[in-house]
Amino acid sequence: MSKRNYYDIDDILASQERVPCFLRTDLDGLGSAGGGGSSKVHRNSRWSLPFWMADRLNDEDYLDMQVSPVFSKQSNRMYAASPESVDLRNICQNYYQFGLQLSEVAPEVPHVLHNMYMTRIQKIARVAQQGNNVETLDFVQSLDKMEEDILRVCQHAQGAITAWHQNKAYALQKASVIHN
Amino acid sequence: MLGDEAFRLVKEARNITTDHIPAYNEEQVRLVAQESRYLWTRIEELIASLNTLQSQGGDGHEFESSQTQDPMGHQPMSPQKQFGGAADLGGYSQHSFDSDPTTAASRSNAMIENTNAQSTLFLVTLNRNKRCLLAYHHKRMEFIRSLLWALHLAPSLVPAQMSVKLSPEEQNYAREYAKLNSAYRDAVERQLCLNDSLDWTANGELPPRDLFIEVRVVKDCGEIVTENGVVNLQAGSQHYLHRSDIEHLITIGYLEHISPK
Repeated sequence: MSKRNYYDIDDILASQERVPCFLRTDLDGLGSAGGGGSSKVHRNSRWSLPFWMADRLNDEDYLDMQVSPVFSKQSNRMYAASPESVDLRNICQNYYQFGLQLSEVAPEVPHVLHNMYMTRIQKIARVAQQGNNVETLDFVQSLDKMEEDILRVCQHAQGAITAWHQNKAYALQKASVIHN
Repeated sequence: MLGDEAFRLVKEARNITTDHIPAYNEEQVRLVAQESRYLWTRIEELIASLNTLQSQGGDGHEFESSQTQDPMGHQPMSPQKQFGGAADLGGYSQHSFDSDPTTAASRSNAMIENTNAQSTLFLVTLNRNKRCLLAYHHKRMEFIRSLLWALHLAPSLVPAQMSVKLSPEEQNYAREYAKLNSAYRDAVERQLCLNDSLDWTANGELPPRDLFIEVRVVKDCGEIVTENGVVNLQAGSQHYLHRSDIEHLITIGYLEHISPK
């Protein structure tokens, strides 16, 4: 896995996904948002916490982190049956990014991601070539954020070929930030 | 929930595209900074209470905290900029302390562990807040830089509806960045080509195919001086000109490039 970038917005967004945790110690003040509220959070209770928080506290043995239901064995098997019809956007908007982060805890996840990606990327490329129509609408709406970006790049490249054929690729444009 | 305010900021940064930026959210930045300061004072309080626990248990039994590892070490990349006092947090967690193992040992141990867990929780959140703040500002900085390059490094060309979205500091950054860049360009010019001017803001993604291009004038720009004499650019007229002479006028939308068919 490539080194994660400290400033990467998508990486930060993905690490906000919740994972189920079992607390071994009291974690008071968990729910307060800096306002000074003193909410009691007792040990031996179950909470679903953001991954960035759970992962670090898990390292220190203050809680037991479990693998998110998105990547449980059962759902992995279910999604593997038909990757193209999985509604990733509904399940987890940062499916791949989150999966990569989880891979340190759950070693089987990268294989799941690989299979999912390799099947879906073909359909994404097909959709980009066909243009939008009713049949692909459901699929386009099931893409996670990374796949959306890929689809946009594919469609842009498709448009660039047409522009080049029509000899428009050499026209200088005004800057896109200026509207008048 | 801890860290939610910072997350809201990052979600906003996700909406930045190549030609759109949401207004600088000063209120939210202040909220996150406030939460971080609060967490920092709480951590200091917790450490102080740990120290009193330590002085109460007095028989010198070494109890090594499970928290001796430097939490900053988990950071995927060490940040280049430091924000507030968060940088020197690492030293605080490297306390080892004594506790009383015999009398009420389990109780004080549990208390110590709870305090440890809580301060770790706050520290993790503090680091998270810092990362969110830095990422938010970094993303905006990247946007400003790409905006400047698209506008030939001239901060004065930034459209008004764009510059109201930037904070005064960001506008200052844009000016200073352009100034630094032109100083560097001048230095390079002196070294490499004394008699020629270097236009390195020319559109590099679009390689030149012809030296001369056909343009139509959209807005009056008066007269410009070229190698071949003075050209009067009146709205509606059409000219065949050297690309490098008028490329910046196309960028700001005064001229329109008519591509050959």
